[in-house]
Amino acid sequence: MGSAVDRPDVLEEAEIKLNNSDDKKPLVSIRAFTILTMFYTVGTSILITPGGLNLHAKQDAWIACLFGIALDLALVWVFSVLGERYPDLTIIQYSRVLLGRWLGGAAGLLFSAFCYLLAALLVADLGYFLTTQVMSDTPIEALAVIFIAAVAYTARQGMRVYSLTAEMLFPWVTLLLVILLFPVFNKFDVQTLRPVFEFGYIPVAKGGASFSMLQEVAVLLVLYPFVSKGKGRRNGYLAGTAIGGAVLFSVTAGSEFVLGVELTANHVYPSYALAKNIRMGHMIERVEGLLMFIWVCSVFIKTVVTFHASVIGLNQTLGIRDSKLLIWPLAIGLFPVAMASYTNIVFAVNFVDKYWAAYAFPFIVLFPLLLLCLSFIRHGRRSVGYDRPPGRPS
Amino acid sequence: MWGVVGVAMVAAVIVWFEVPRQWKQRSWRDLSVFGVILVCASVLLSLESYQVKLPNPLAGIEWVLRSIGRMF
Repeated sequence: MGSAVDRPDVLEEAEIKLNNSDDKKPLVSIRAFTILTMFYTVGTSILITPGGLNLHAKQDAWIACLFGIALDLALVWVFSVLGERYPDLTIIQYSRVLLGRWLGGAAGLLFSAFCYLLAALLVADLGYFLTTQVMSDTPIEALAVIFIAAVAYTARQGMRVYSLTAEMLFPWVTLLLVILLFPVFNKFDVQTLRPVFEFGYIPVAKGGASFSMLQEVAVLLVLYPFVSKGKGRRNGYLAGTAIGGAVLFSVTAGSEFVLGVELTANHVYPSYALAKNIRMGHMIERVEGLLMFIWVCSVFIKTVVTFHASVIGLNQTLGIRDSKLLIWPLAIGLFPVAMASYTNIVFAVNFVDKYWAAYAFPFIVLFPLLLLCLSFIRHGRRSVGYDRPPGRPS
Repeated sequence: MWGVVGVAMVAAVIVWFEVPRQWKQRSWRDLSVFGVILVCASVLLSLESYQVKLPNPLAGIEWVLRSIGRMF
């Protein structure tokens, strides 16, 4: 009896150790990380960005999208330089190394809070999409509760489980994307794209910049040290962003071709409207269900990653030993935050359009860039080796 | 009434699953953080269940950003 009781404890301890960054064994393979990054980029963006891009850049939305993806890739390149300088530490940990115990801790806490709010907003995003477009009689609260429970359960199973989940979903999502986008390419018409740069470069640049603030790939720096080390990690980060960007570009261009600029800009979920318009002969119809599936998958993965990042951040700033302890208490807090944040869909769309970029910029661009500059000043040009992390925080 | 009961039950289940192991390991620091977060989340959740209008964090962010914009 005694040994039967003891064994789970030992197993649990091993698991706790596995989930702490002290363990050298990687939790996420490079391929899984690439797919996670791709899902993270596609995330909510696949549904909402075509609208915003078309609203600002009109028929140049596709150029704005390309610009935004280029911006994303440049940022990811910089982030990966930062990540590779501290291969064993999360962004929360090296912010404490670089900024000192108190300032770094405060910055880490703010970053975790940003992730937490983002996770709550993703929950609300999913709820609003499903209740307005598909299940109009279902109260949003019911969907949010189920979704939060699934997210918390998955996050508690650990990084290895949800990275494998993403890997498992990837072929299906790819297949569905091909079915969704293949008919759209028949509609390709250069005439819809003209005149190019009718309103000058400014709206295009603005649209692209606010587009790239919606991918929040910086949050993945929390996961970065848990990925298997080597050159592939960096390439995986870049490749995932590029593949996700390609998906977003196809959907944006597709909505422009099929719906036209005005209609795309006026829809809250233009790519859903796009999917409703797809018909191949009389064989393939009502493919909007596929888009919904893709979107629910990618938002699910994105929410799990973001929520887990906030939990890891809080654990590391406050020095919590058991990495899974805070998951459920934080998860039940997601619900009131989500419901209080998005009071109605008009407010939500307006906030994302006007304020999100300005709000997210300090967290997902300025903070990592500041850390990178400080790192160059304090540790010089050499990157810090795998074996000797500089002053591991207590 | 039922809102609070439901929230209390959820909180009790979470405590049931998480606390004993921590208690055995005497990680008081972990437990105190856990307690604070659980209490805050439960209070928010029960307020939400009575449809109390909670302060909107996004409205706060909007206000801050607009005041910063006005300064420049």
